Amino acid sequence: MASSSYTQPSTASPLPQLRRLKLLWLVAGLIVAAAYALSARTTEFNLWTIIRDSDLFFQLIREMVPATKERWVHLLTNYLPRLRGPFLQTAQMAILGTVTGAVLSIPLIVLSSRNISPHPAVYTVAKGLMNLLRTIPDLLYAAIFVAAFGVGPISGILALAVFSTAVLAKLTSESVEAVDPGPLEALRAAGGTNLQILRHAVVPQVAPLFWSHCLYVFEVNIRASTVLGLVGAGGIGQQLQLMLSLFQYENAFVIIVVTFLLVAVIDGVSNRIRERLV
Amino acid sequence: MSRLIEMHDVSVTYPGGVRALSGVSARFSPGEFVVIVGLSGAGKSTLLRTLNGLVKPTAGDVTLFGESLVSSSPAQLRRLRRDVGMIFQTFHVVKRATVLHNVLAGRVAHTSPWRTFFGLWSRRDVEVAWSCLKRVGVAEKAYVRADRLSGGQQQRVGIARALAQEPKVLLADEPVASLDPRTARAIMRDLKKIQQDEGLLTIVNLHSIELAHEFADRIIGLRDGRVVFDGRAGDMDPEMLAEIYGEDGWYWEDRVGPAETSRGVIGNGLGTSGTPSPSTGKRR
Repeated sequence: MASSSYTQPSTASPLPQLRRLKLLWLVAGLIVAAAYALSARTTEFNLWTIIRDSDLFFQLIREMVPATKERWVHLLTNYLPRLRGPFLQTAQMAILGTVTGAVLSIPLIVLSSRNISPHPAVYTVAKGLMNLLRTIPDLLYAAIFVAAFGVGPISGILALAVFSTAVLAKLTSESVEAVDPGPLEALRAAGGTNLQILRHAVVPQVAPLFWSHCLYVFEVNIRASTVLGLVGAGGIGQQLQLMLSLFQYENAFVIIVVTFLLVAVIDGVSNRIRERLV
Repeated sequence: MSRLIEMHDVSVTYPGGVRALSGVSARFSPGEFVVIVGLSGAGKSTLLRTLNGLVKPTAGDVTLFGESLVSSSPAQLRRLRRDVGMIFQTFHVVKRATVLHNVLAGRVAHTSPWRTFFGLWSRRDVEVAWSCLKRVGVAEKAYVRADRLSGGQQQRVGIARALAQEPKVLLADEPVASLDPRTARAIMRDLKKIQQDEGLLTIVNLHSIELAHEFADRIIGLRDGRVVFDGRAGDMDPEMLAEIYGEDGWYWEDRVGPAETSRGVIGNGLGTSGTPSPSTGKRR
């Protein structure tokens, strides 16, 4: 049977299929081009005008970067020390958001990992909740919490905590689903309860990955908390927002540079630790 | 009690319709060293897992220490499993945990879940774990991560974990199939010695008929989920082997050459030793 179909000459030539494929590409290309043109028209986005008016951008840069040595000295001695508070607040927000998120993520991880979830229905609900939480970006959470709890770091911390919970649950439940099932069977065979199986077969396999994910989320939170202030959720971002609205571009410049350096250092250290963890 | 485990007409059909065991009955007594042989897929692993309730029979029942596994509550089942140690083909150790932690995990059913949750093992738990490690000869590796150990050493950790349960029965599912022949034999010797020292009922799945003959008191042959042989290792004959492994799967001369048999390594288990001829009529 198999040999007869094998020897049968193919009746269909490959050419029509090839032509159809080309047509498909052409149609797809036209759709993208049309969408681009339409969007550009309604938003008045034009690459050419941007290039033509790019001197406006460089003008701003010139205003931001202190021109004289005196200005530099002034900024570094007078303005920089005043940023200590806001930067500390940003770090504190990231720490509180990450730790709160880590604690909250643990039950969600257990419920949303297919191999250890108590029931398929629970798994489906938990996974759904996790994905729903994750679809909302942290900035939007911050805006919502600012509306609910008012301007200040509390709203920022809440936003980071919710976002961290979702991201940690997502990353770690994937790690849990990838554990070696062997030790789980061994613990069950030894008469272990589900809690004991979790504690002595799953946790030792996943813990280093969980700590690594926590550090990664901390990095993300440091970066996010510099921006959260833009919607009034505290930290250095709020200071940046203030300086920009007061046209204090030199001050804004100092904030941006220090933020960049701080994020780079924290990312570097965290990466180093994560490499050693796993 | 003279019977530790009894299987009454046990059948297992997996979801999807695969029938792994068909009407298996057997009894196991204290101090026996039983080897279950058969091809891959003959039902060896399933049989072993029905003995500690990891697999529930779809028909029939297993009684362990006189108690029915089918009608046991989850708590009763855990209590029964405590007395049954199990060893696995791929060791099933936690690779990221230390050797000592792996062995302590065998103590879970002896200690309250809350104590074990916080790692508050009792002094006795640690002493038992430590003596089990010494017994299998890997005590000096106690604080090493398990993935740093060789396969043979990891299997010894698996054995130590099973022994830490202070079991009455030891089940071993292909314990040496992932190991080189030399290590395999060493592990089998360890198992045999433990069985003899403790008078422990030991049931081992093996696909190697040579190892089965060397170590078993009693052999159970499985084919397609049915018991086709159950008797003393010495009563196993070439016809029986053909029955278990299939006529075209078992080549007497290929598996056991005359030189091997005359050395008596395998031959003494096979009744008339040094007669490689019987299968010539069997193979086609």
